[in-house]
Amino acid sequence: MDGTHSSEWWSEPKASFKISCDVLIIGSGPAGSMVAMTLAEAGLHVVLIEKGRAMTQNRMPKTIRSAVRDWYAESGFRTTKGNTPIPVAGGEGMGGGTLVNSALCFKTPRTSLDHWNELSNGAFADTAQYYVTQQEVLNLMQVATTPEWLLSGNDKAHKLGAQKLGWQEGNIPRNTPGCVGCSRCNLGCPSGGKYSTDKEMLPRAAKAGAEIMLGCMATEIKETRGMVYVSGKILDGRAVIDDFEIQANTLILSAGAIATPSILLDSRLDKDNPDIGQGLHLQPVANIFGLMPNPVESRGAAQGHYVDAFVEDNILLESNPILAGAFFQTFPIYGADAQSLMKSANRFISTGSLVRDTSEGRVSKSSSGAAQIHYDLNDLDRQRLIQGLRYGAEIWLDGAGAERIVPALFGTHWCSTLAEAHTLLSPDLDVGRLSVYSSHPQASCRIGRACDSEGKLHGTNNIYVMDGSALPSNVGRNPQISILTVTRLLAERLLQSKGQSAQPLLSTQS
Amino acid sequence: MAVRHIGSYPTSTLNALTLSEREIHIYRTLGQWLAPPTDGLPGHGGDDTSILNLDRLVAEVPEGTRQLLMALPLAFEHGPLLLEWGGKRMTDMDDVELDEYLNNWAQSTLTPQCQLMAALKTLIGFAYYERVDVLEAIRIPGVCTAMASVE
Repeated sequence: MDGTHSSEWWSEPKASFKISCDVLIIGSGPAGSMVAMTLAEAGLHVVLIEKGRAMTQNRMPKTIRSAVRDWYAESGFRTTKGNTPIPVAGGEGMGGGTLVNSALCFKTPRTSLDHWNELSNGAFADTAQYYVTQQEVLNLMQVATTPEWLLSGNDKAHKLGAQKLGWQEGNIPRNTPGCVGCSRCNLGCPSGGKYSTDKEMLPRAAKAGAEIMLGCMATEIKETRGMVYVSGKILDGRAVIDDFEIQANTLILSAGAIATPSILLDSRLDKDNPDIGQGLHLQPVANIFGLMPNPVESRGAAQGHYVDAFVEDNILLESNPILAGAFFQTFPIYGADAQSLMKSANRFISTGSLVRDTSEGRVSKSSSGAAQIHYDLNDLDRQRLIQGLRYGAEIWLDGAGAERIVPALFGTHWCSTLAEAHTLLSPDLDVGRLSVYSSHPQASCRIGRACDSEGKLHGTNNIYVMDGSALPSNVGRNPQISILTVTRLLAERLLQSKGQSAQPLLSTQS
Repeated sequence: MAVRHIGSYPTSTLNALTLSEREIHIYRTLGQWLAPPTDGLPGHGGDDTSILNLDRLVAEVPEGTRQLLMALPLAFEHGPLLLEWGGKRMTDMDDVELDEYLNNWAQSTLTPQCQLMAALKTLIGFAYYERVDVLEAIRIPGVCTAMASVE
C-alpha cells in the first residue's frame, strides 16, 4: 500500500460499501471509459468499477517484470488451452488495455465492417455514421502517424526491409501526442505522452458526475424484478480486503473479451444464452526475431512501422517492441552461449505477423481466479501464421540485411538464408510448434449472437455488453479504435432508447 | 557447480513468499544452467535476486495459474525418471550429467518438451534478463533510460 487511495476524480475504496446508481459499468478500458463518458455527460448517474488500480507516479513500474506482474491480467500468465498454448495479454488498471498497449490506432477496414453487418443483420449498416464517429474518435484520441524522428532502429530496419522488397507499408498511427520515444508504452507510459483513456475520457466522465471506483472486482451478477445487483470484492493490490454491493437500473459490461464472458458465466447467466463466451477470436501474432550486423537504436516508438501488403491474405506485419526476455525465450540459446549473445541485445530486431483468424474459441467459467480460454488454431490460420513467419523472414533477411533470424517456434533454430527459413517453416509444420501470442481477444459475446444490435444481452432485461466482446467478428487490425467507435455508437443507442441524446464527442478541450 | 543433495532440499535464507525450499533449489539449478555467471554481466539466472524476482512473479498470479507454474520445476526435477536418466533427481546430478540432461531438453524436437523449456525460459528471462542491472549491461539503452527515469 502506498498511501494513494484517491484523487479528485477517482477513488480506491478500502471498506465495505453498498450503493445504487442508474448505470453501473464494469471495466475502465477503452470501452468502459467511452461508455462512462457518453452516459455521464448525458446526465445519467454512472458508477464505474475497475478491478485494477491507478498507475500513479509512485506506482509506476520500476522494472519490466513488475510492469507485467502488476498491470497485466493474471500477471501476464493468462494462457489458452488448445492445440498450441497462446498467451493472451490484457491490461489491468485504470485505463485497461490503453494503459499498457503500444497505442496503435488503425481504422476499421471496410471489409471488416461489411463482414460484421453480414453477421449481425446490419447492426452497423449506417456505415457513413460509423466512419463519422470513428473520425471523431481519432480526433479525440489525438491520433497521428508516427513521425520519422520517432522511429526506433527496429522500425527503421523494418521500413528499409519493406521498401527494398517493394511491399506496401507505412508508419503506424498512434495516440501518443507527447511521446518522447522511450519505447516502453506497453509497460505503462512513464512520460505521460500516451493519450490513454485516463487522460481525457475518464476525467470527463468524472466531471459529469460519474463515480470511478478502483480496486473493485465484480464477482457475481443477479437480475431481479427489473434491477441488477452486482456483488464483488474490494482489493488492495490483489489481496481481498472487503466486499461491496451495487444496485443499478442498467449494467454494462466493459471488462474485455475474456473477463466479460467470465463474469457472466460465473454468474450463470448463460442458462438462457448459450452464446456467451462463444466465437472468441484472438488475432494471433507470430514473431520473427533477428540479429543485425550492427547495433540498432532502441529509442523510439515501441511499434512504429507496419506492412499491409498482405492484408488480403489476412496478414499484417508490425515492428515489435524489443524485450530482452522475449528474445531469450525464443532464441535457441542456453548457458554461456546465451549470455554471450544477450550481450549483443542492441543488435536484436523483431517483427510480428498478426493474422485475422477464422478459428473460434470460447471462454468458460473461471477456475481459482484464472480465466479459462479454449482455442484451437484451425488449419487455415496455421497456414497463414506460417506464411506470416515467412514474410517476417523475408523482410529481415532479404530486405533489412539481418545476419540471421529465428522464427518463434517450439523447437526452432537459426536461419541465415531465406531457403533455410522456408525449410524450417514448411507448409506442413505442426500447429503445436507455433509459439504465438495474442493481445487482441475479441467477439466472445457477439452482437448478432449473444447480444442484440444495442448490445443488450439476450435473456436479460437490463444487462448490456459494450466492449471488444460485442464485436460481431474480429477487426483484422489492432482493435482500439474500432472498440471505441462501436462502444460510442452502442452508448448512443442506449441513450436513444431512454429518450435521451449524447453530448458531442469532441469537447472544446479535445 | 551443481550441488548434490540426497533426500531433503537445502534450507534457503531467502525471504520467499511462494516458492518452497525444493522449488528454490530446482530453480537455482535451472537458472544457473540457463544463464551462468559471465564476465560483463551481473549475477546469474540462479542467484538470490533472480530467484526472488521469480518468487514475486509467481506470488501474484491467480491460484489456478500458480499451480501450473509450480508443476513446471517438478517436470525438470523428475524428468530423469521419465527420460531414463538413471532414476536420479535433476538436482542430484553432477555437472556433466546435468549438462547432458538439460541439453537433451534444449535440443528435443518433442513439442511438449519444447513447450516446457520455453515456459522455463520465459520465467528465467523475466527473473534475470529483465533486471535493470542486466538490461544496462546488455545495452538496451532506451528501455534502461526510461526505467532509470522513474526509479
